[in-house]
Amino acid sequence: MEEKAFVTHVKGIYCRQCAEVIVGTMLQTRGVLDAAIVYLRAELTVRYDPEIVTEKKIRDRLDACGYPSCEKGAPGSNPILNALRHPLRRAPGK
Amino acid sequence: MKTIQLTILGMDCAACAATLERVMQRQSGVKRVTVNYTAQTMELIYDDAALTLEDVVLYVKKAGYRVPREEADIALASAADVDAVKAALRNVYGVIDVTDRPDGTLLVTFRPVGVDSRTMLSACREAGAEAEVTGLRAGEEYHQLDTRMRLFQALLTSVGLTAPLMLELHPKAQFVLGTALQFVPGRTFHAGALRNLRNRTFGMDLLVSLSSSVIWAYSSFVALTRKRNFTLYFTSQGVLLSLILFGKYMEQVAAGEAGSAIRKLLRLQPGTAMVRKDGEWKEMAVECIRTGDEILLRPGERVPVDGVILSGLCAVDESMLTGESMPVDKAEGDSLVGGSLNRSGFVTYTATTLGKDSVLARIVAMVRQAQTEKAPIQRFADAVAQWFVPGVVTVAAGTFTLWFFKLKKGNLETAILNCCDVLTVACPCALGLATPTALMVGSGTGAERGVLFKNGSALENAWKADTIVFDKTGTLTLGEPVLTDVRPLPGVTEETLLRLSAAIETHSDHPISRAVTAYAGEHLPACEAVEVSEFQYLPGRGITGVIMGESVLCGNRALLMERGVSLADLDTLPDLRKEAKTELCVARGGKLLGVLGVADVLREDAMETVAALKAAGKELWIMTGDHEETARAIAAKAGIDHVLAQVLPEDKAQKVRELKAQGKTVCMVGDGINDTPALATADCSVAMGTGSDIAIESADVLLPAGKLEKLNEVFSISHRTMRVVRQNLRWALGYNAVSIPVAAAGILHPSLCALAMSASSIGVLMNSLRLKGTGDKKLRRLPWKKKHS
Repeated sequence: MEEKAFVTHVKGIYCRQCAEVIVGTMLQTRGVLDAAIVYLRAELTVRYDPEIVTEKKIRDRLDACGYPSCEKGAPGSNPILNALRHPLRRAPGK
Repeated sequence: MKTIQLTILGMDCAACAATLERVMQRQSGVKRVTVNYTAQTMELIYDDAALTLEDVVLYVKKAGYRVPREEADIALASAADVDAVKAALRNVYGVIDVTDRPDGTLLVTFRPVGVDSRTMLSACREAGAEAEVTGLRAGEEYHQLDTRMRLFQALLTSVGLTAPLMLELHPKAQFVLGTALQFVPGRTFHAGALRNLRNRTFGMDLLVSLSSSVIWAYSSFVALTRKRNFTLYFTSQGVLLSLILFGKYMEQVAAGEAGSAIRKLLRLQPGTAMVRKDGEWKEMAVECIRTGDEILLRPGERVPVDGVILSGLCAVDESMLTGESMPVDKAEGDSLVGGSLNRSGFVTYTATTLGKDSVLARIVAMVRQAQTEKAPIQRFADAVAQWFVPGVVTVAAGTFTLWFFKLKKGNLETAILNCCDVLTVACPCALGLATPTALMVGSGTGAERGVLFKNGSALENAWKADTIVFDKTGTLTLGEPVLTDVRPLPGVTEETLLRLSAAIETHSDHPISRAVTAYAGEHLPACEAVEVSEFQYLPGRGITGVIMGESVLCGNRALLMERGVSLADLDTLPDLRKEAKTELCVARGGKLLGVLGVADVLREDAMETVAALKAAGKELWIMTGDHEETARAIAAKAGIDHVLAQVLPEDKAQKVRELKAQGKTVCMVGDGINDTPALATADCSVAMGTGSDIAIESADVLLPAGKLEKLNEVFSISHRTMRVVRQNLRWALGYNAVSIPVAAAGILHPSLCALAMSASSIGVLMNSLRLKGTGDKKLRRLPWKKKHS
């Protein structure tokens, strides 16, 4: 049973709810062992089993749930700026 | 009597919780009520013959708070009897109404009393219709988001209105902006203040409302009447409101963070599962799974619901339950816990417990319960908070009088400003938040690490224990005998001895036999089974049989003497009985071959735990119904100094009482039914999750994995949490003691006062959140954290 981890930044995070949605989605992805996110940095750390899932698949899953992975500092990856741009936008699912 | 947990909205401050509690307590039919500000919940025990749920909701509304309505969309799968389904749904406790939607779905409105999609679906099913929940607008997260959004909007409005005030505007324009500020973002405070006055309990809203109103009234008066030589304070008013709103917003964010450990637990359960339906595997929503359904679990998936394995082997990571990320091997007949992670292997299993009865839901409910219940230390904070606001208003009035009539006679401006400073800077919230936030984070962290505190007082008292009493069997030891010694006589190999005894013991299901076969299975290379004939089990003595024409005996000395085997050679071997082991003599064809030693061994982590507890200065006792000698042997091995042997189950509680009478604070650690009275008597009790249900019920703290090493964490988490609580209380009291006189002296600007007040309550929250990060570095679960240790 191998274990790998990668760190990525995500686009489109707006409030803390988004952060929790991402963690929830990750935890329910087959092969993901654990996921944690630092909200203010929009930095997601995923621990996974490389025998079951690949990093690419996990990133695809992120794209599919509306929070695409990106490089550090990419446009749209700063939660505070996102929040300021859309102050009254509701979180997904509302 | 009915016990419910309701979500309450509109509580702005910890003092509100106390208000609501007092109002509810006054109502007839209400037996007991506990309100938790941080979790925004109310636990209520009421007489359901005298009161309905809607009455309760009305009382809450009268007190000035609200119980939200939640909504769910239900789509009926087949052409079902809609009226029957509606009637069935209306009968669900908490449901207010069911209406048709034009698109054919049903809209269910209900009160937040723990109605979930599962209860609604099962009601539909009883009415004979398969249904699906298509939308759910409910739950803690939904309400938290709602509150946070409202606050955020108020904050933005407030900042937007304050910014132009920074410019030197015309006094009339300033008046317009100031008035807007007072009545748009400021109205939440005024509404809260009115609520406070009506209930005659005073919170932070009253203070904020008073000070902002006084500044506004004075500035308006000046702006509208004076012609020259004046200063306006609309800016101060705006900054004050903005800062306090910002503080409240941050408080909301931090409060959400405090409950995040528990929310993450709830997210562990996947939404769908592979279920066998009519011989085919189909992906189904977890809500639709029924008891007895057959479920397929693939490697890498999380376990959707609790169950028992039917076939297959797997390795499961149960870290959410135990804090231990080492996968556990499971085979047919073993149970799986919903939310744990299958690391490898395919298994099929049957669902056993669902929804609210599942292990995960019970853990979450238990932790929530601990968070809702008040720890004794909070009563002190509550008592202070109750007198705090009236006290501050009095001090503010005194400040005004002193400045206006004594220090600067007739100077209304200074007197009003200083009076407002006092009102603004005082912070009852820090006091109210001190205990609940720390307890919330503390119990959440505990749950994450595999230590469940069942109530607030357990968290408060556990670390005070100076004497720890262990039950022996099942707590310190594994509770199952293990083969520890293989002692052949000269001329006999260990292998012969083991093979012979294992061959014969396979035929028995006695714990000792199992110990022998398990050891042989592990230590000997596999070979063909040996045929045993004339197998005989002699209770209390041993077993006999015939292997390859020769009779083999396996039992105690009495059996061998009975069969005429000479025991003379036994003296050449060490007497295992002195080491509290059970002796198993093996003889073939009337000749002794050697002895095997079987004993109930210590848990692997027992010695380490005992050493750590001793180092922490705790006095350790062992309590058992066994013989003195056995007990002493185990105690010596574990490193425990004090032994209470041959204690009958009914005397265990008495012994604990005797220890308590000696002035000791006793923590009892046990697992069996026989320990239950002792667990209930001790100041603090810890039960092993592997033990009996009744012991688990009666203990304050539960170690779900049954790992003794977690005992250290029980004490350290409790200690750290209480240290944070005391720091918080000290900080809150100290802050107010220093800031109020300083404000009264007129040194601070009103905006600074608002900043200080917000900072003090956020400071308390941050201090509580510190508990999240601390802990034994070795036990941290995430690999990227290990790098730094």
